[in-house]
Amino acid sequence: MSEPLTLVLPKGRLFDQVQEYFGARGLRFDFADRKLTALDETGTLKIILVKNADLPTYVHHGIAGLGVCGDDVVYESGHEFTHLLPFAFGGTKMALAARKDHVRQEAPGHLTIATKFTKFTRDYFHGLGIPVKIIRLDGSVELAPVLGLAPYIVDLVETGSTLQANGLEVLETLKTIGVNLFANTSYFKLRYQEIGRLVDTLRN
Amino acid sequence: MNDAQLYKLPPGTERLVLDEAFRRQVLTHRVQNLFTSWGYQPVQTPVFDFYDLYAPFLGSSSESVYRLVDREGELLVLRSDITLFLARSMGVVLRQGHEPLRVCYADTILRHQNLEDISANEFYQIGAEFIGSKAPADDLEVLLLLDDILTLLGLGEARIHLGSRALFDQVFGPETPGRQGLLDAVALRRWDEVGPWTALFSYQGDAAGLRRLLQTLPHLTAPVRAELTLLADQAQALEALGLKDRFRVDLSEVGRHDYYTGLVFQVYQPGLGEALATGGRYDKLLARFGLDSPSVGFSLHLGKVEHLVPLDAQAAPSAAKAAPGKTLAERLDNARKLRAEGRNVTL
Repeated sequence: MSEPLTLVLPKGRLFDQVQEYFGARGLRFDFADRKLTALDETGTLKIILVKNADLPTYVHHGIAGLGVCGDDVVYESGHEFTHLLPFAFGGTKMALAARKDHVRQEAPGHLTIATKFTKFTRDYFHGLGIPVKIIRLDGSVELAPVLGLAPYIVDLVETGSTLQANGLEVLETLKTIGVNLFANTSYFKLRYQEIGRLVDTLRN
Repeated sequence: MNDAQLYKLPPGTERLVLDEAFRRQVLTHRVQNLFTSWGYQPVQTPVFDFYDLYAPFLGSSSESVYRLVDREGELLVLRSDITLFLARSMGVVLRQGHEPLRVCYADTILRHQNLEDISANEFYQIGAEFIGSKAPADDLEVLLLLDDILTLLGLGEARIHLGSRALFDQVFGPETPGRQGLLDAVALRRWDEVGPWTALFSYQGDAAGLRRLLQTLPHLTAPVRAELTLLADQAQALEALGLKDRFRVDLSEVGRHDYYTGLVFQVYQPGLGEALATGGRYDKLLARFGLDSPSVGFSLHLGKVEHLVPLDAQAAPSAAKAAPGKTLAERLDNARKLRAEGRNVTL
């Protein structure tokens, strides 16, 4: 038996869904208290838990071969990976939002946007030919329009309840965000047969 | 003096000292000896050149090149891709109808990298090019040379994936909308974007498997079939030489540089996050620099694997011992004797 394939998973809300999905397909794993690595019961996968935003870095450098996370995180990293499998769970939307009572006051063609997703936001609006001024925030982005930091935000929206609670509304959905299994390209090329079998297991 | 500048390296530069620098010298020397034994002649390209000559070929890498203005106001580019600089140099030196020429190089490149990519080690490249070479036979020579280098470096687990840019170009002609996006989609195996061609471009395996695939895809046009047959023949020839473990057919290898026109290949080494070497055939590139001559070649990022190659620690100058003796004359005499035995000795 060859070495297990290495897979990084993001801590947080997506982890439980991945664990359940993999477990239902015979790849069960659990993390002992405070440990950040685990083997699945079949010995196919060595799983490493990292912070969501760091995940592409580990895969890019080949520290882990495979990763699961949302398109948004991969896009922000700027790295390219071999695409393996889209998942039906964990999908969300990248949306432009503002206060419900907001009145557009800025000069036409100029938006000030607070967001965690600076690369996506810049590329998206520049692609439309709209100049943007971006204020980078790391969390609770909904506060920005409420407190007057920026009239607009770009953020992930699932149910919209957080926006609702803060008096904000979605102006436009910019992109549908999916969750994918992907690989470091070099790692995939060297172990494509084993990875192919894993993808077949997970596809069903 | 600014302390922050003293300890920081500008992104895109590299500093090697002492044992590390010695290791590079030794490995470069070994590879150069191998090139010589294969009949490849060394070429040194200039460190900078006129930017406008290269601009059409830089693509997305134009963001990472260093540009500067010379004393006459001309825009220059620092050497960011040796293949391009070599094509330009040879385009000027060679005359139309020249004899086939085998050349090699070992040089640094300079380009900006993001801070977190600093470990990519892409600053030092060795490579070879066979100018005036013809596909398919001469492609095999270059692939076998590359295999020999990997063996010399002790990289038995490295794999060379063979694909074809010509195949992609036959399937998606120059008028195909969103062609660049399709090239990226094939290379990154985003099959939902590739659509009905997935069965073809997703193939990975050996020559026999590729021939079987050809039979299961009856709707292919004659030029597409020809490219696939050519690749299968090349892979089969390599397999017949006992190199089945080293080479794999991989149709998602399509060459990300626009100058490729035929065979393309990349080398993957366990533990490296990116390809160790990249190469292929570029039959039209030299014509852009004044010489219409077909070529095939590769470049290898030696810096990525230097640490994997075992070297005799005793052979390093840092292991040199002081020569015995009370006077300078004695020490010099002893040192000469020991050095003649191959030892490293200080006075």
